[in-house]
Amino acid sequence: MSKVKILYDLGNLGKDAIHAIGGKAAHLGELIKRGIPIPEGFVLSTSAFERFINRSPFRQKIREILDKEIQLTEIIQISQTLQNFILETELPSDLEQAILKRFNELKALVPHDFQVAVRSSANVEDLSEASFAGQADTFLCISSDEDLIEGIKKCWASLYSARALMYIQQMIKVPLNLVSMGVIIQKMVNSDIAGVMFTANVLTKDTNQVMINATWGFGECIADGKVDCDSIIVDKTSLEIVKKRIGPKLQMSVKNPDKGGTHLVDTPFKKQQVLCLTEDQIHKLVNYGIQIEKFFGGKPQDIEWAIERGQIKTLQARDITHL
Amino acid sequence: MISVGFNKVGKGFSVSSKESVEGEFVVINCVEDVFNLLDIGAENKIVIVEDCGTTTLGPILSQIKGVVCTSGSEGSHLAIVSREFEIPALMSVRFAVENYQSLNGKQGKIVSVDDENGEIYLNE
Repeated sequence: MSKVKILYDLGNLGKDAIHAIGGKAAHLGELIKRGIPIPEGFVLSTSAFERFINRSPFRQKIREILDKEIQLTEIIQISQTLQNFILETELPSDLEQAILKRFNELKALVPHDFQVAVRSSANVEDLSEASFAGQADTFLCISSDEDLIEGIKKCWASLYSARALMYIQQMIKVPLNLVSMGVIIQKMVNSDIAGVMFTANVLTKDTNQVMINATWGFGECIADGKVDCDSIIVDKTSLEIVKKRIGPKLQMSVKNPDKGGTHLVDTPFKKQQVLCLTEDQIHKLVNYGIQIEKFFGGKPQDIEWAIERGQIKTLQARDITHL
Repeated sequence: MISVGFNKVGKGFSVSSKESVEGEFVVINCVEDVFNLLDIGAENKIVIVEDCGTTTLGPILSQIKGVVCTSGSEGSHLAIVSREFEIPALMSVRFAVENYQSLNGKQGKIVSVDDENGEIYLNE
């Protein structure tokens, strides 16, 4: 077994470790070091992904594809081939054991209703120029060993989805064989309210305003546009709410008790009619946002957050691209 | 900014570039539609998409004129990526026509009316 490290605690590495753990994990590590509340978890390094590929029975074929220049017209087929190779490869047993050991240590801290989120952290993710937003997949509400391993493989495979391959080719412009994927395994925040916060007004480019999108339940339905959420604009200096728009929020994303994962259910009528965040919560969020922006050299940030029983957790922070 | 010869058919939140653009509307229902568009050329097209799979537009965002999405907000992935490509994008669009699929292949334009709002016009 090589000495390359395959697992890190979130928070052990910072933003200089994008090559080792990917952009998202590196940024989260930076926030943990500075005391911002982040759900506990660990990260599978990009070396773990490379080891998985190197031990695959399809490694030769995978390498051949990754090493050549891909034409736009071939992308759907190449994507399917690469994804099949990944999904049909079993995790090397040493790798699987290491992951499950760490997963069960995390589980031991949460006796009831333990679930994790499996999230992508590509080494081309959350760059200043290209966000890679929505290109790779996230898997929520995972509780069993089998689902975890399956979720990790699917997360790796999503690096080669047709849309991700296109984005890499057109926006990131690095050869595919240099692109790798860390995977974050993090305690699930069973959020009552969640959303996105930009520490600038992305519509007017006003850096003295914060823009918040918020909705009931899990926040991924804002990113994928399945729920029309609330939108709030706050002045950074006075913390005054400059504008608010109550979104219809007809549905909300919650745990799917039967199948695992999440599903959309109708939002209770009363909850549709009101802003989901209180003024106090808005102020707390904005204060976090201002702090996080400072940590990242004053560059306006795109932050994903979640609130569970009044506690705010940050799920992601990246530079706002093209402000 | 309403021009003669155009008929307003929808409105939504303008979440990216405020430029007014004209083009042919193309309704995208699946990833195959994206690749068909790549085949015939996506230049001068304004694409209309629903909520799911919106980031599948990645391949054509560098070519198309604008994006119209029937759901979403400033924080949606499609909004973020549209801003990276600096193309106008209207989200949570409500149409005045009965079935927006009927706009497929027709010429029109999208216009930002202020910081937040945009409108969709059909060339009569």
